[in-house]
Amino acid sequence: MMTNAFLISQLMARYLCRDLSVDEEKVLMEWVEASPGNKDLFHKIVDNSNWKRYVEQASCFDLDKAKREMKARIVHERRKMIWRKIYQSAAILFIPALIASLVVYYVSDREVLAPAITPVAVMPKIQPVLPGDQKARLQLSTGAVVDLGQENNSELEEDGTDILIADNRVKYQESIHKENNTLLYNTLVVPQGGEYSLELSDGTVVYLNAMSSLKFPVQFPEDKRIVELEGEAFFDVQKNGTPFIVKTPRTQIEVLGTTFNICAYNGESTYATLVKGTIRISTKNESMLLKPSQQAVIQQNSEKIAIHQVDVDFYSSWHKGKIYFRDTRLEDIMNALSRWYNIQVSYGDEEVANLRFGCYVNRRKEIAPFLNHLKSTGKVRVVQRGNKIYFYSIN
Amino acid sequence: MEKKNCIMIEPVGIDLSDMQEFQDFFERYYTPLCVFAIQYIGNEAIANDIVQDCFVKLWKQRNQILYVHQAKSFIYTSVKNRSLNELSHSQVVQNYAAKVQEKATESYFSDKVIEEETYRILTDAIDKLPKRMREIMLLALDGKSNPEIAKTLSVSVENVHTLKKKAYVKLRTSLKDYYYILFLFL
Repeated sequence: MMTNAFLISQLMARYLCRDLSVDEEKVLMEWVEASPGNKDLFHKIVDNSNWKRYVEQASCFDLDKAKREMKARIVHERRKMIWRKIYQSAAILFIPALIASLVVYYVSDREVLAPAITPVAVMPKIQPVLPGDQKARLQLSTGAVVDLGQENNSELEEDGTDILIADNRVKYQESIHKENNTLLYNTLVVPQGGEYSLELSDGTVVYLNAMSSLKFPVQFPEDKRIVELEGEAFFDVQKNGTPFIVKTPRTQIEVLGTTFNICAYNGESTYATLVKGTIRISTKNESMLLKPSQQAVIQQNSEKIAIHQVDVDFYSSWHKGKIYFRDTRLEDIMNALSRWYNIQVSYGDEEVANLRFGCYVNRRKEIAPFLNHLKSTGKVRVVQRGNKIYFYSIN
Repeated sequence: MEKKNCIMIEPVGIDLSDMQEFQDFFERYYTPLCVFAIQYIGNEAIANDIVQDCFVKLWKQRNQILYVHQAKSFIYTSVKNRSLNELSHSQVVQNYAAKVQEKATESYFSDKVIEEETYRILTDAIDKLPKRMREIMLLALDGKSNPEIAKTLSVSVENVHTLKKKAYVKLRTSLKDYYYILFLFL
């Protein structure tokens, strides 16, 4: 009911700004004609005196004052919440202590264990499926492996290049003396449920998504910059006159200085989405130029490049914690999510896996609200057991 | 829904546990919700209190809310419920039982949501216009003709005409956010 009211308001506002397409005006007018009540409301809203009424009433309220009041109240609520947590954790500590003392009391008194007491402590609790976090492994040219976690802030050195690890990013400093001509390669590997970012020696920034790896030289040679990607990464390439090449198992992408996203997981289609600049994407037999807001798709079992216009935010906002899907198969949505959340997904039948949804997931949070939202569409039955998720048809 | 004309809302995400996003949401909806509450209880101070309380309630629910339209539904519904509560408790309107009954209907609620939401979107868009265009648009929405506007602002009628045209174009671009939300299957 409410979403319909919101939609009618949007059509109405745009009608007042003379901004409706023919089709949209048709929809609005159909709604107006649907009942005398709707018609009255339409005329009331279009009427100048009612608009004046709104402006007058709105002018009675002081937004800045309200904002200050609101802030103070949220601070107050936060404080209350913290106290509640303290009480809760105190209770959690206290209950086992109580049980233990009761047991001791019983044992010492009757010299038998009272079996009725123990079940109190075993309260079943559904484990929430928590989101992943910042983690990765860095493989140095020597073969040594460094674990990069959230707390790891340190410095490394490889062949005269300083490597700084801080704030969930590993950064390669540009070396002053470049006479060494053998290239040393490092590899950054991000596991399931992880993400990490990397600044290469030329200043290019790469955000690496879960279950992805990037192989790159510690220092780039003078003539070209080549890195190898498997999985998904968002690139912000520093322009310096030499071409920057991203090799994936099935494509090669060449750029000068641009921002783009590549998704090239094994066994899935490859997607290259351009935010800014130009890139050239090549497969074995084809090569094409991409313009901003375009996306190149290479299907799983083909070598052909298909290009279309997309909303780039949909494909690149994952590194800011937001994942969007538009008219996407449930199985594809869950494949992408299971790289980030530690979950195993099964489907009752083929039909459920092929259902299409548009949705948004805040991947910095647990998965439960998203699953509830899927349930509430009434199109699918969702059963969760620990980290296993099952989808069934409704009937 | 097997209607011929079907409009779908695209899910636009919101993270209310992010203080910045919560504040932005508050800024956009505080005034319209106060005006909305006035339609029920007719008193500005109480309207402010109710709306503030409901925002605190929304904040407590922040982890259950994923989409903008969910947040909107939640807050409009709770402001309505609180206002009706207030209304039935206040001594003054005890005598106007019929009036309370009328306001408690679903259709009154949905009419008021549409009315105040329309004006909220419109105000939002007009606020983004440059000063002169904003003045002209506000006068035009008050029902003034171009010559009347020209007189009030002491500029030429042609000037009003061209600025008004430009204002409409600008309004369209700032309403573009809403295009994105709307999808039509005809």
